[in-house]
Amino acid sequence: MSEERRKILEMLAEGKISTDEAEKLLAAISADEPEKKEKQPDSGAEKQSPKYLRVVVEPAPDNKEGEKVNIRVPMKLLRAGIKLASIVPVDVQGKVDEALKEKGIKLDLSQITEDNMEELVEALSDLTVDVEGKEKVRIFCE
Amino acid sequence: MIPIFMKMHIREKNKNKIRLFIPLICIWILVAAIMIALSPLILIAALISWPFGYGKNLLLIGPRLFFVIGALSGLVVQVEGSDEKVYIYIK
Repeated sequence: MSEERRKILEMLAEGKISTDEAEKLLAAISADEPEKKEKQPDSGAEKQSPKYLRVVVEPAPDNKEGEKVNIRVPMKLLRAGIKLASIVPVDVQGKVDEALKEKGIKLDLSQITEDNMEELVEALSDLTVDVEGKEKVRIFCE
Repeated sequence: MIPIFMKMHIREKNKNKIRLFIPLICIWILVAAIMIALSPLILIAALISWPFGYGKNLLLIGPRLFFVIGALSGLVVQVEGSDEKVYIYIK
């Protein structure tokens, strides 16, 4: 229960306002609350898009011969790569898609547009992959 | 912004360390000179292949490659094993 609602109900209980006045005040608060909720998603949308894709692999403490890997890929490179792939001729794209399908990757390069890429990059901002086994693998965006 | 330099460190067990600092700006100047020299040929090739649908792609290769090169800035690749270590940083 919001603070404003509590105050209105307290005033009603103390007899400072009538029932009709309390109802009007509560209706006015309800009208304001959706506006506040609409503002909140805007503050979420101001979240900056990720700049780098990080892949970090660390060996387990008892694995002295394991390899450490630290890779940082700029997100701009992904966008630029998609733009470069868009100028690949259609018949070549088909061959690339077939080769990917043989490897088990069902991906249609022609369907990936610049808008899709922006949505993908925004979705990647919340991506976090943590795998712990013989090695600790972390994939995240920053 | 296009990357200005590249650092590369390679260390292998029982071998000499390799530490390179490559000023990429020199390479970009050379690449730009080559592209300018080849631009008439690229234009002619684009005109010839335009009716077949490849002309536009040919003209766009240069700018798109430029964007890819520009996006390399900030790339870090670091691999450390027990016997070897590789570090590449492009800025």
